[in-house]
Amino acid sequence: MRVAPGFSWGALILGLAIGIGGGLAYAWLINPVRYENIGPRQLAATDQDQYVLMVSHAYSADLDLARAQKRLETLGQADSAAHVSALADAGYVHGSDPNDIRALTVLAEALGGHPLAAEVFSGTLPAPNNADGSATGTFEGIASLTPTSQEPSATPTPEIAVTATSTPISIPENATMKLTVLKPICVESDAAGRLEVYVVDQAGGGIAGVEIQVSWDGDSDSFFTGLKPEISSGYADFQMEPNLTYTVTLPGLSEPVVGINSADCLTETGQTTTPGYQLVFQPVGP
Amino acid sequence: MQRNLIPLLIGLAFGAAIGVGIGWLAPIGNAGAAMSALSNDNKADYAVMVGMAYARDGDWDAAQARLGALAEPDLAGYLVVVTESYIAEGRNPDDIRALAALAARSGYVTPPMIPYLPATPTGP
Repeated sequence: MRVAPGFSWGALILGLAIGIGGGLAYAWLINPVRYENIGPRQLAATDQDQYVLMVSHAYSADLDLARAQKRLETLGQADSAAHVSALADAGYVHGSDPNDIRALTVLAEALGGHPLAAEVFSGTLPAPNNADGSATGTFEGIASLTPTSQEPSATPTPEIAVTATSTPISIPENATMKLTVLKPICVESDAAGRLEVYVVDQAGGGIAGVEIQVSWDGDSDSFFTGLKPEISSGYADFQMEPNLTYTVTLPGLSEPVVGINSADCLTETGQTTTPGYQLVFQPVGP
Repeated sequence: MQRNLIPLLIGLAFGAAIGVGIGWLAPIGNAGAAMSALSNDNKADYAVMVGMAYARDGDWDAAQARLGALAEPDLAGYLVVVTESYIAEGRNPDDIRALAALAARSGYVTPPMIPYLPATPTGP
């Protein structure tokens, strides 16, 4: 390329420098970009975090994982599970609202993530708020489920127990069961590592004969309520192995309760033990 | 002087174009937009999520703070409009219930919402 004699490259470069500086000042300070009609992907980082938090709360309410995934996809994150896990852990470290950490943890685990916050908040979906403002029954609140057995020494075989203890209580058609209580127990006792499941009706009466499926690490097992009537007709338990993550489902009746972790916990006396859990399922809907 | 003026003006013109382009494509500061800039559909879906959280935890203060991010000047009116549009479009009844609960808690219940509210709604 030939340049006219006398062309000043220095002036050109100076002009470029001044022009770029002026252009940047105009674009950043005088007339900055205004966002309108955007998608979640274009949100600022803090607002994206808020959006993810709301996705996790919504998931806690409807347990619709496909919908939560679809919402997260709008953020354009390469690894949604890692993103949600990171937010759960950040909330855990900074002492955020436990409900927020819990919601994020539950969603992260449902997505296949492994947040550190799961050590405390794994699978612990809180009981839903009743429309009338009354408190949802806690596990302690259903103490009446434990009947006084007339034959405490008898350990019934499964066949006998089912026959003898099946009650007329039945689950209405189209009813679904929802986890209303999930209580971790960290004590040194025979209950260490025990998964205690109660299936009760709206009035708190045990429902026998309900299948419970427990799965972990590519394996699974099924059993039924009603085999230990000395505790409750709606009761069943399962012994967990240490350091695994379990999922509990009432097949066809409930969404899976994910992230039940049997990693060692610290008791009040400072001993480590395998934690146990108490879960209560109750019907929702008509 | 004349020898430098033309290159300087050429440089200024090109430089300004480059600077504006870079500045608009790579904004400084809080890169990205606020929740209030979301499209109407995304705003409504965000409100649904807030409503679902509210239905679960009953924390009205938290729900108000979350909805505040939408920066709607008339939040109650906005909730009514979104709820009624969801009803008219036959959207997911659970979503409608979540929105209707927020609108009702804000003090507005319109006839189309009534089937989606509890039989004895709680007042604001």
